[in-house]
Amino acid sequence: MDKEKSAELEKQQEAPKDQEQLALDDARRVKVLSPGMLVFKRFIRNKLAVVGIIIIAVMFIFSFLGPIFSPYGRAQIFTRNVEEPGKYATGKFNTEPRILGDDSMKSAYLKALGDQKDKTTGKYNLTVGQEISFTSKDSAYILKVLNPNGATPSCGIYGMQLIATSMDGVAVFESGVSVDEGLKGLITEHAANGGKEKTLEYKGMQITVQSVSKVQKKYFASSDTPVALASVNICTPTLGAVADFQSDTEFLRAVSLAVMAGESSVDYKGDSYALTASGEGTLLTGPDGTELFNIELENRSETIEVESTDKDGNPVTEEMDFLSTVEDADAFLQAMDGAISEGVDSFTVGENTYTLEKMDTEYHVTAPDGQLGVVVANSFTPVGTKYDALDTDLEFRFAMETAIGKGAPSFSYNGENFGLVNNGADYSVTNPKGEEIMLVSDIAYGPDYVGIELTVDFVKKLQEAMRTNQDSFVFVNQYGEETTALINIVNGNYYVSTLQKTTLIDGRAAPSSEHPLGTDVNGMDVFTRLMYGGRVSLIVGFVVVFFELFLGVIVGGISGYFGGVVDTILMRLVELFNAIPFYPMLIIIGSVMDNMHVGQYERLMMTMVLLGVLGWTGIARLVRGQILSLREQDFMVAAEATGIRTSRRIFRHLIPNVMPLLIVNATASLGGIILTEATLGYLGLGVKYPMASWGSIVNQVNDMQVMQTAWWIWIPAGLCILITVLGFNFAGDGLRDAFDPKMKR
Amino acid sequence: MWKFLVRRILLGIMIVVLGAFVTYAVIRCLPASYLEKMARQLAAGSQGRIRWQDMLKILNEQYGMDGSIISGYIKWFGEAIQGNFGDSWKYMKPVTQVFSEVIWWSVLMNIITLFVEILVSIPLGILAARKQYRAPDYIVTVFALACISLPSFYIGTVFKYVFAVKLEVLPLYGLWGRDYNMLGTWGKIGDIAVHLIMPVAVLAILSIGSLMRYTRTNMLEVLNADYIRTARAKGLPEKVVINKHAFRNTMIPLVTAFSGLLPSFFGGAMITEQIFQIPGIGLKSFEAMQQGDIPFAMFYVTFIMVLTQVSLILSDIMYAVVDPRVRVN
Repeated sequence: MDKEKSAELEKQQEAPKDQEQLALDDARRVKVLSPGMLVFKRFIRNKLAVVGIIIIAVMFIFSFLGPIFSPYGRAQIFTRNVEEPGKYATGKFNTEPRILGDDSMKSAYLKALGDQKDKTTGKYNLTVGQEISFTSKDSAYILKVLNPNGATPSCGIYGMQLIATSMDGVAVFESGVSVDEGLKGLITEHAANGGKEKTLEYKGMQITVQSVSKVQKKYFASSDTPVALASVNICTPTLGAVADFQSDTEFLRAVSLAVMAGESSVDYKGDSYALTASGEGTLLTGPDGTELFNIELENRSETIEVESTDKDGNPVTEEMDFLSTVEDADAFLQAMDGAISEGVDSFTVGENTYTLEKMDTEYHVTAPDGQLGVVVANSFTPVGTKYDALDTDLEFRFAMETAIGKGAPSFSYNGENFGLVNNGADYSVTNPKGEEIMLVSDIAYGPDYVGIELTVDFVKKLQEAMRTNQDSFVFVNQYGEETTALINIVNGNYYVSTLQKTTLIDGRAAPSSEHPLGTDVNGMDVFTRLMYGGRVSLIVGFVVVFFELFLGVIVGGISGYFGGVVDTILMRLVELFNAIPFYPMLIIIGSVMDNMHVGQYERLMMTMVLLGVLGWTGIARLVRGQILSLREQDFMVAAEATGIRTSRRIFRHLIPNVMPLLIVNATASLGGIILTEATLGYLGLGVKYPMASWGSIVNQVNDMQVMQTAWWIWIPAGLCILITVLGFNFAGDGLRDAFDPKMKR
Repeated sequence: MWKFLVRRILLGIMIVVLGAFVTYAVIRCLPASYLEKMARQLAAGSQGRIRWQDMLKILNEQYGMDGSIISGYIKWFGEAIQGNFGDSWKYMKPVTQVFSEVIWWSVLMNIITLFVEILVSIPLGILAARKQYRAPDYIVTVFALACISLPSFYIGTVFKYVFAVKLEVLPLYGLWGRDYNMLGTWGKIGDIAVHLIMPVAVLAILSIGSLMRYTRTNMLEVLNADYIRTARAKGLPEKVVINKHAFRNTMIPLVTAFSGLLPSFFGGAMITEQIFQIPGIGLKSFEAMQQGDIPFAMFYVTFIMVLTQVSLILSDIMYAVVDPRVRVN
């Protein structure tokens, strides 16, 4: 102010010197300012208005330029790695016998075994080799005690053969079962006499009698076929290296090539593997002497196209298996094998000559018409697995359980001698070479998740830990990493957990140098979201205001200019829109959009349209009022007199005069619109995730935990709304004063 | 005057009828599957006693949803004019019953708010007018603008955070404490009063801004009037000039402004009630509308529209009553 005044004074002092010839009423003596300049001058003199404009400018830069410099994306989710105990496996001391093989008789078996329990001591009175017969449904069984020691004995279960059924004392023998005449007589007599004996003895053979009903009896003869094993022991095979080679295609290819070339050894990854001819194939032996694979040639018949004619005589192409098109397949295969072993490149069967070609690791046999017929390739049969399937081999298990029962250090099976090493409560089985092939224990275990493969090392350490009541142990997991396991015992179940690396969403992280305002519930950078949220909030504000202006100016302009019936109708319309409550309408439509799963951009559009449609009435009224008074003024009479178009009169002469008032009003109402949009966002009815607006960021405060512990999520967003709205209100107030200085603020 | 009143009332009725129709049309324009969804939800709520197809039929029949919009509206209107607004889909009882259960809490809260508002904003407005363009005026203006710019949900949450979470001096939300039923009459009143402190404060802060500015503008007008100069010239003390001569004349526009508060009086404060979980009409209607409860939404919208029209008519009448110079033409 002072500077301006002094400048003006200087000018006045200087003026006479320069322009002495100016008359007193010369127009140049008056400093003329354009109306726009006057408004501007008045505006910037208002301190609050300037503050408002600065706030708006800062918010615009923050929202529209900020994201360019922000290192993070709008919906970038941040994570952090943590090591937490995670479920790994469960172990349990097995007390109930598991039935290996046919388990349909399990309940009958348990009952038969339970009958042998001493009622007073609760112990079983059993000896190794003791046999007890029992029946289940239509079958009879004999259980043979293999190992009477321990809390639950191990038994082998043998099936019995039904030889006769008696009805009312008449025995009928099963057809197809050869029964000794003497035995026949014994049974017939027993049936006719209504004998009470449960078992009959005949030449060392045991006959079990089952009374099905008062009149019906069934006679079973003992047999030596084991059907099942009942034992609490779990066997874990420990020799299983072959599987690793089987999945290694590079290794298999190298071996295949060596076999085709007839070499006696293969070098792979620094190890030497021996190839020796055995029977029809080749035996692959590992560097440590273990037999790995038996390699044989295998035929694979290809699908070929055969042309023929259908019943109408049209040529058709059919896909067929090659070998099924060869007339004498046996002769063909024989000739082919001969050709391969001789190393010739063609052979003839009947009239056809086939070519044999060696392709990389395969032989290709081509038919006379040039189509590929048969591919011969090496197949790998693991030999090392000789000991792998033993844990489910009944006879092996019988022999082993018996040995355990007797306390023998070894047992034989299939002519081979296996060692049994007693490690306290658990055992391990060794093969004739002295290698450990199996762990035997009554501890059952299992992984907690698909994808966890329990290593032999884990099983050993777990069993040891469970026996010695340790609460943690270190083992090597499936990836060869040393891992610490923790044991937690609940109701006799041993829950094993390991420290597992997991990636968690870094939600509600406190402010740090990386995230100046921390992260929100979804693990997104709050500061960056505020910038993007500002974009949405400001854009919504401006678009809605322009939409309101558009509708309001048209309706208000027409209504004010034409007056009369048009005015009445349009003003009633305005009153109608005014009467419709704002928030209820927005909430109803918002909830319906929720229900209909409207996309985030459609939703934003809908919100803007709704805010505009529900808010234009104020502007229409304003414009109408202004135009009503302007219409009567002289310049309009002049405009009418010149005869210009009505639309031109309204939009060129009337509306520009309303413009200042419109600008004031629009600026002031911008704040309100941003506020409304924020409120909708807070209620969860505005823009939706992953889009952000300031209101929807504050929305997270509805989660009590966010409110109580994570102030950085909601306080800054709310402040942004408050400051921006305040800025618009300040600026709007300032504009009003500047345009109309007579009006009181 | 009477002619004007009759015309104004008829216009108001027409606006309510048309406004309800617009609302009804908007709600009816929702996709048809929406009603089906609602029927499924309601049928699920009945625990298998009603099949959803039957529920859909009942809904269609009850609310005329199967006919055209106009016939449906006429049906709804016919029922509504007899006071039957149907059963709320959310609360499973008549809409009017829900309304009468909760409305008084909103009214109570708003009456207290009104007193607080008047006590704060009118003296401040007068102060600002008396000290125009001086420090108090600027402070009051900034304060008023800040109040207008405050998002209600934000100030409410900040209050909750400061007074309930950090300082723990006020209850977090609700209208009754845990031991409300064990308290005596005065204890009960005290309990509710403590629970109402924050909601009332929030509502008052949100509304004092505009009332303050309104008072200031009117006071300025009055203070510049000739009769004030006359009063001062008579040598009356400044206190008498302001309180007796000036303020009484400021009351005229203020009284008319108060009649415009009627809708917010009975309509409840939706967001504030939601933040503080005050079981008033605002919260109930918000919850109902958020779940697409059409009968309740129709009732609430109509109710607000009637209130708005009544308040407009009232303010016209008040204007004529308070200021005898007003002549209706």
